[in-house]
Amino acid sequence: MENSVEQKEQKSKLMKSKAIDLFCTYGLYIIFGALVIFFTVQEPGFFSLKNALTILKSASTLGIATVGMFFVLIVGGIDISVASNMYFSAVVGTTLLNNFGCPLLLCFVISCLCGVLIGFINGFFVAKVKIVPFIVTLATLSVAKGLGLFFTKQQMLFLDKSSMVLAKSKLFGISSYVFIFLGIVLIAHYVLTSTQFGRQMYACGNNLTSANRMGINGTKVVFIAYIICGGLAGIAGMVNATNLSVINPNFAQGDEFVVISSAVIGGASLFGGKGRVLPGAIIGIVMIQVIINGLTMIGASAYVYTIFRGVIIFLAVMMDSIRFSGEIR
Amino acid sequence: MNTDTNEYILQLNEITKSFDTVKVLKNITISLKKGEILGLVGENGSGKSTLMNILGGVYQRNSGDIILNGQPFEPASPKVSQDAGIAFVHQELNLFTNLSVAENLFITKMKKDKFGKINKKYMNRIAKEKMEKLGVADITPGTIIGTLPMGQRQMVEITKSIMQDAGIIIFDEPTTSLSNKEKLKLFEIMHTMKNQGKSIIFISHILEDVFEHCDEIAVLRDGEIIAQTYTKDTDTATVIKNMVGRELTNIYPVCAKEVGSIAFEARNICQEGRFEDINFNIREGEIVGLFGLMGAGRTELLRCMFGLDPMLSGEIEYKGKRINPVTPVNCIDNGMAFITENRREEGLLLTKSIKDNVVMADLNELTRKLHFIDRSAEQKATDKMVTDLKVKTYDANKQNAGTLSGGNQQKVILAKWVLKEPKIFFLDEPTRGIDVGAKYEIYSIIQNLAKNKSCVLMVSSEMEELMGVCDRIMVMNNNKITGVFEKSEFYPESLMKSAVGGAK
Repeated sequence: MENSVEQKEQKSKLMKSKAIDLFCTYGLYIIFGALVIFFTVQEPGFFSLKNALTILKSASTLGIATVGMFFVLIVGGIDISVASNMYFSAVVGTTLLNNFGCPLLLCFVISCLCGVLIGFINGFFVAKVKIVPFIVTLATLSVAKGLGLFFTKQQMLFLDKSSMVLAKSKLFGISSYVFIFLGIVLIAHYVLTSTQFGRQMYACGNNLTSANRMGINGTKVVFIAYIICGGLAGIAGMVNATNLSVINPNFAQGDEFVVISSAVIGGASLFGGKGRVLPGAIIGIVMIQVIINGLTMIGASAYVYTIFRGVIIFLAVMMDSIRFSGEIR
Repeated sequence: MNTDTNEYILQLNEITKSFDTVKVLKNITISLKKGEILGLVGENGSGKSTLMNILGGVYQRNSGDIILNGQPFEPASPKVSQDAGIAFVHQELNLFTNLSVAENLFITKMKKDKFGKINKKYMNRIAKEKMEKLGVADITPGTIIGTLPMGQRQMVEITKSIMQDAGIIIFDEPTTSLSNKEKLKLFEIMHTMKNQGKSIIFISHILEDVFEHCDEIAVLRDGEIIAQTYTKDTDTATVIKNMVGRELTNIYPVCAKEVGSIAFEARNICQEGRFEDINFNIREGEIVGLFGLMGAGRTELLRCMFGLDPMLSGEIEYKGKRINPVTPVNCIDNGMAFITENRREEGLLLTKSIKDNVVMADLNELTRKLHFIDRSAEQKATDKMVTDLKVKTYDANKQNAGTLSGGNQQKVILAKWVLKEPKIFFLDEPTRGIDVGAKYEIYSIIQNLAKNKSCVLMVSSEMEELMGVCDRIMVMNNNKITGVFEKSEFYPESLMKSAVGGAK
């Protein structure tokens, strides 16, 4: 009698650990698949080519920022200022477009540079002064948001009509945003996998102390990761602005968590040293965008989306932690 | 005499170094011949690392000459030393577990085309060549380091040192994390390097290895070279004598104690994929050794019985009372203590004072009403422990545990647990990386624990140590207990036979 009870206990323990394993590997995909089925049943229009293209287009803006987040996560940092960065950079770019009649391309360059500036500040305090990245970027989050609100006097900012060209432009029936996003993914993938600098980023994220001892300039590598993240956030901000053709005060608000969770879903780790931009960044952001789109299509309240976002972030980070706990560095 | 100077690849003449007012190195003169292995031995804190760090360009010396290949040499920075062909294999591995073997070898010197694209094929080929040169053929350059076992990682670390055709390679205690088989491989590589005309400085605490593999042995004590002699002209007793400055007739303390009746029992310990049905007991006041080769499952057994790793089934009992559930908190509450092998990471708050460390595990006892800590009781307890266990410190309230030597750190960890007066001690490699003098003191502490009627279970890789300290030795192999030996049956041959699994 006793024996069989013990055996049952053993079995249930075994099952439990196996279940956790399976859940970590496939859990998100299963939930994702279930959601897609649910959305399709509720709203048949959801599962259509037209909607797929819409999803791809809207995924592209935050996708660009997600690529930047990969760099920071790979060197073992985090940047929660991306959304504010997007807002601030978009405000600056749009002001140039509206008030000075700058060509659209120049506006993109300036936005990118604004992002680089914020990335530089983040990088300086994280890599050189060695302050915890969460705190540094929390500060820049607040500062960038404040600056943006100050410049716009908390008013809505409508983009000049000339920006519509980009928003409407298509190639093979696919929005050109998607190609900008894919281009950036490919370049980032090349840098991370095929250059010495990219490999050194992985090294720094794995073990910064060893990296420095091995003659890698760890400070510089981490610094540059934040600059890249900032610059890409700047571009993402401007892309998003042209997409919406209006910047209101809560532009991109809360998107830092979409970006971070997309990156983590796509295989980056909050513990550093892991993740592939191709296909990780695409998978991550598309998955999240599908859920946002689906919720909108079935007419769910905006607050439901916020709850979903929270749950997804929690799941992604939890799985990341479980996967990490068995690792020896 | 002229030919003599040509023979030397490296000469250090009257090197001195002080930190603040403390003289760490006093007129060090040693020399290294081409194609020779020089063993450098000495207690912890005798200046070995400082000396090697000067050679490696990490510290700058105060005076003295360094002559490399007959030319004066100035190791101004690690890079200068590296470029001059001095490679350093550190005690801890500097590898990136998420990168491939080849990437690790080339991390700062990757082969690139003009677009910055790295040439993986080339790197893999050279990596393979270099590893073959060391006789390491079984590692594929494309493998991710994280998937390799520790021993192979060490081989990669060593390969790294020869990437730049170094003429001198310094090994700083390279064997601490290796199994015996891996150790043999390491020594094989050292000899391969030697035969290729490279010179090696080998720092180790394990005299056996030094005697077996070194051509010359230099002994450091308190920042001075006591002797540099050919291995064949000296013996273990002399070297130990030189190291500690006194004759060690008996390195194991003798202590009259009584072994009582069975107190601790472990029954049917099972762990998924590891242990099946492990049974043993410890008597009151008994010191039981747990011997085995690396990977035999010794540490894992301790962790399992302390609730650190899951226990599938089985029970542990102290004086007839079952300890259930097996969780660390419950084990501690029931008078168990576990002192881990990884003292820097698991057992000690390095940045906290000795006092904070000592009272850490016992804060509950030292807490008065309303959960305020009783400062005077805390102080009293610390003072008692520091004197009882002979911790060498200038001020237990001020000195950080991280600045203590290995032996003294271990004493602080022991003090932390002893304060709680546990009845069962699990000690995992309590003397690893500790010098001979401090070892003796640790042994005395262990003997005293047993004298106070505690049960002690001690894991060690040094058979001689277990034979000297323990009343009984259990031997493990492949996650099973393959032999139990009473004191009268302690023979190295039979212990080793059980450890390699051929016990009959």
